[in-house]
Amino acid sequence: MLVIVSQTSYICQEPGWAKEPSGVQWTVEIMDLDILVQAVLLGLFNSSVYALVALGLTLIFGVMDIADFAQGALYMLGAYVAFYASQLLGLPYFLSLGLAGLGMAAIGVLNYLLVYRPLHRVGGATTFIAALGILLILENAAIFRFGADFRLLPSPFGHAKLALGGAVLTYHQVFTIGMTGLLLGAVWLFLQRTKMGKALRAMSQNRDAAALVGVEMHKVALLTFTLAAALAGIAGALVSPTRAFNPTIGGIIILKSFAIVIFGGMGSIKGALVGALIIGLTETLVAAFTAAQYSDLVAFGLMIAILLVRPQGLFGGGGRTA
Amino acid sequence: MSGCELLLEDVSVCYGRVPALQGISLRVGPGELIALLGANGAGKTTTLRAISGLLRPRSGRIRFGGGDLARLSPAAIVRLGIAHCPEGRQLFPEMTVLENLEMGAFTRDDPEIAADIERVYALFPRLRERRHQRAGNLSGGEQQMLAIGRALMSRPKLLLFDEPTMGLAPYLVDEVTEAIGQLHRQGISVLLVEQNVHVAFAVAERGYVLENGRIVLEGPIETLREDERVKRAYVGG
Ligand SMILES: Nc1ncnc2c1ncn2[C@@H]1O[C@H](COP(=O)(O)OP(=O)(O)O)[C@@H](O)[C@H]1O
Ligand SMILES: [Mg+2]
Repeated sequence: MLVIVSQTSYICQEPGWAKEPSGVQWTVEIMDLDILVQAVLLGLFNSSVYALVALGLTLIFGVMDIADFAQGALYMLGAYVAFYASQLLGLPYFLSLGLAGLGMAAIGVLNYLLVYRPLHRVGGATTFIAALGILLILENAAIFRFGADFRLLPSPFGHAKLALGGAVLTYHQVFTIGMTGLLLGAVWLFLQRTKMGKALRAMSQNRDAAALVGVEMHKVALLTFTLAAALAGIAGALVSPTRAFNPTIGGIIILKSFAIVIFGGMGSIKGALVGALIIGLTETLVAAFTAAQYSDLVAFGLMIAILLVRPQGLFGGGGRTA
Repeated sequence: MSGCELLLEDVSVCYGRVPALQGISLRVGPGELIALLGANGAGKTTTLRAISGLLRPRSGRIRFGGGDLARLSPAAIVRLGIAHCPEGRQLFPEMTVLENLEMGAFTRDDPEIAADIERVYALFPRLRERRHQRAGNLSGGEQQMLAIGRALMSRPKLLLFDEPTMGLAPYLVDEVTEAIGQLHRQGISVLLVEQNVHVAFAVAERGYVLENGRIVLEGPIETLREDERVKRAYVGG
């Protein structure tokens, strides 16, 4: 709130405003609202990225009980695929988005077939350790291959900005939010309307029961890994023109996304989306009204507080939402 | 309904290294209703899970309609005509009643699924009233009816029931018992695991008694009713 007070006094110094008390009042509200709208819009952008990664994580967790931290590496590699596809091959950005999705889907499938499927039978913490291993291996391979420098892909929209009231987003951020909306909608339709989508939800809610009605576990698991990996790859590619990236970004995004999944209720889709929204918004609101250094503190503090009250997470416990 | 005899020959199942079934043999002939009795922990649930492919036998053969089930996936076993109505109902709690029934028909893509859902509603009219509710919000009795209905949706030749009346109020026990008898009269073979011996005695033709993973007794249900070991397995039953 300190920020707002100082903004107000700044505006009051301008001639013509300070004379009329009601005018001052009005100005204060506008400033307040602008900062709020700006923070909410940026928060929506942050949430979009979290939502795409967290959705894949929670789907995999629901179906396989695997905390697949390797999804972070797929996010990071998605950014590099988009970068090299448009910079080296000269492909249009929108094509490189698709390429990032496809390429990461392929790696997701390989991860499942070569690592998770054989280890799943062993059980215990083996799959989790393997997931961490894949994350670190891919991260190091990327450092070896691409270097540790930060890169930024030029956006197909250039630097154009969209003014929404007093708030401003780049076209690329708006595009990212829109694409996320489309992807989430498509996944939702797939889960609700198609036979395989229903099988995925069924397996996530009760694995034995799904087997007993004739759902083929391996098919559903393969599908889930494909879908999640594609989402992570596209997310990385979507963000690559907005946030500078290097091979270590995967670890950061996956920690937060995993926290969001726990927060929302492991395996719950609704939980992952609501969690992504809450954390994304909390971060930017805290940064706007106090200081950016506090945003992680408050976001994680909020998660811990809610988990103390609801250990099963926001939407966990009463079975998985899916 | 011929050619759908279920035959277990010398089947052993282990959890890790702990044996749960030690060489059991049993038979459910076409159209028979067979009871599998035994105290808690005797191995009844393990038997049903081995038949439906959720567990792999360590040794022995499980034959159905001539083929060996031991190498098949649960999905393949459902396709052969065996439906398992599991212990504790195991519904899809976030799906509606209708969606649960549709999941029961997962292995099918014929045009008669809708008609079969109507048949389930005719058997359990309460499910029709609740068809758009989440399965997790149903009462225990309604959940059991839904679990039975879902099993029927695969059009099974053989139904496996694992304690279908557990935890139900007496009038619901009667309703579920009546439904099982009715399905049997329609020609479906049934292997019924029950703790409630009154239910088993009311509908079964023959029975087997399991003790510590072995079959200790088998015979017509009337002879089991008088046996000391059965009375012992169900103290106060
Ligand atoms: N998942 C499991 N892991 C280890 N042991 C088990 C498991 N399930 C059952 N058992 C053991 O196997 C035996 C048979 O269990 P079960 O088939 O469930 O008996 P019932 O259904 O007759 O009560 C029991 O001793 C039980 O403790
Ligand atoms: Mg049991």
